[in-house]
Amino acid sequence: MRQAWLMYRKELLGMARSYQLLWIPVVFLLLVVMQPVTSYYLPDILAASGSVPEELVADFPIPGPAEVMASVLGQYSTFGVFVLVIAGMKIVSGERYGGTAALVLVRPISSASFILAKWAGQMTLLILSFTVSYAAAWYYTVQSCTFLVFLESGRAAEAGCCYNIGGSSRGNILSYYNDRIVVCRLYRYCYLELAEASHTGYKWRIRRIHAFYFAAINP
Amino acid sequence: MTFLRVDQLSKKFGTRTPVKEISFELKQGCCTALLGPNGAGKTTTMRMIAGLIEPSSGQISVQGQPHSSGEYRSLIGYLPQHPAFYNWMTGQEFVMYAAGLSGMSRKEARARTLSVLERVGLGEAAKRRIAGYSGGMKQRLGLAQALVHRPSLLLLDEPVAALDPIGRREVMNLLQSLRTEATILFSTHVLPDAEEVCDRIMMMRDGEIVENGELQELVDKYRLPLLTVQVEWNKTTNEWLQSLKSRPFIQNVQIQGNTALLTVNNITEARRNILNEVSSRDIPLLNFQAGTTSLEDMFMKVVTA
Repeated sequence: MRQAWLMYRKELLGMARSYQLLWIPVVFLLLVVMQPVTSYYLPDILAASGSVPEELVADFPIPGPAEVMASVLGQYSTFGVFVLVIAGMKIVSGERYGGTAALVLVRPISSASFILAKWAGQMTLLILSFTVSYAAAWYYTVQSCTFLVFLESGRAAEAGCCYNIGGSSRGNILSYYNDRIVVCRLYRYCYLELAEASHTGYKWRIRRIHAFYFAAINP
Repeated sequence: MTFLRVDQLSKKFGTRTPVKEISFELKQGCCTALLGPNGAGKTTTMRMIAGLIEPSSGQISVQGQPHSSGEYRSLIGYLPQHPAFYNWMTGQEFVMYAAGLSGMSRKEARARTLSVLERVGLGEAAKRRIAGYSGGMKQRLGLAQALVHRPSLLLLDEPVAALDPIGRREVMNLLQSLRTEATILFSTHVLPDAEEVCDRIMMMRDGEIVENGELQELVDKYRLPLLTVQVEWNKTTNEWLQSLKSRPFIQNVQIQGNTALLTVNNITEARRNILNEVSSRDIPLLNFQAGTTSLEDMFMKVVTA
């Protein structure tokens, strides 16, 4: 068992020295962060293409946090597996044909523990990559709580009156005083911009963005 | 005392049989050279003894224990013909890893690693990555990992083939000093190496052991008197050299330019006859030497027979 542990440590050291322990989590991270970002910009991309009717873009469904996290999981099952397979292929056959296995297997260890150590090494890499990248995906949805609290603290009623501001098709006025209003713009999904806007006599213009949130808006 | 016994060992790869029913014994503390031309089955035999490949038939036993039990493996130190390492490790890390796999404790492994690296001349390079090692350094590192767990049987597959003359000299000296610590079986196709450190020689040809015995016995067995006759080259002398083949006391004639190497049965008779002929025919003799055939000649004779 001690030998298997030694081989496992050697696997990890090898992965660290070849920077696999760094770049595979980074690839995973980029992969899953791209998922919410693409779905976030998708209506913009469609609108920019010009061939999609505006109503369709405006009514683009807003995916909830659960949906986002689920589609992130979908990314793992395709690209994630692919990346791991590329990184992990030949770890056994490479040692056999490279000749390093000969120096290891003449020693009093079983082939099973040799394979087991390799497998455990790959599992460690997988778990690490998954944890890091899934945490990053979670980051994009976790702050939705802020908005829900905000809505529930009495301003939800005001949020009901809906105006179009400055050509933006979806702006909800939360409150206003003087010529200023506090505007909440709902984007396609889980994104909220809280801003001050003023009327220029001709149209409302956003003055200052107070904050924005990634929000979960489940109707 | 018999340390290793090999009985009717064969290995088949498809239709090819690189090792054919060989049997031999290695005595404890004895250094044996496995000699043979390329493709004679030396490496396959080594790999079977090391337990890396399964024999197709036959038995190997170490200290009376059957080989298949697997226990023997901590007793073996093996250096493959082309050792390959993890290039991202340092020499010291690799040897420590090897020691750990052989069951040494961490502390013991460290101390032993340092001393063995020093011994093979890698003391200074110990903390460098293996990727930057030269061919000779890798060969030494291979030797270090084979020695680190104090094996009682050392299997060395062509340990000096990749080394320069100085490295070769050092490794041969190292082998000399190891003779008291372990039973050594090393394969080579370089005869002087075998002659230098071994007390026994086994010769393989086409997967069979064609000769096996004490070095001195073999030398005596194959030693034949040899006469070297060198003459001034002209037509008459050339004809005379050629005509030597027909003499009854001469076994074999090898003519290289103006020199003839004569293998003879009876040195006294041959010497008298040839010198008589030289003086009676007035042959311009340059050099006449009486000696014996070398081990090299024996090797050629055995492996090409």
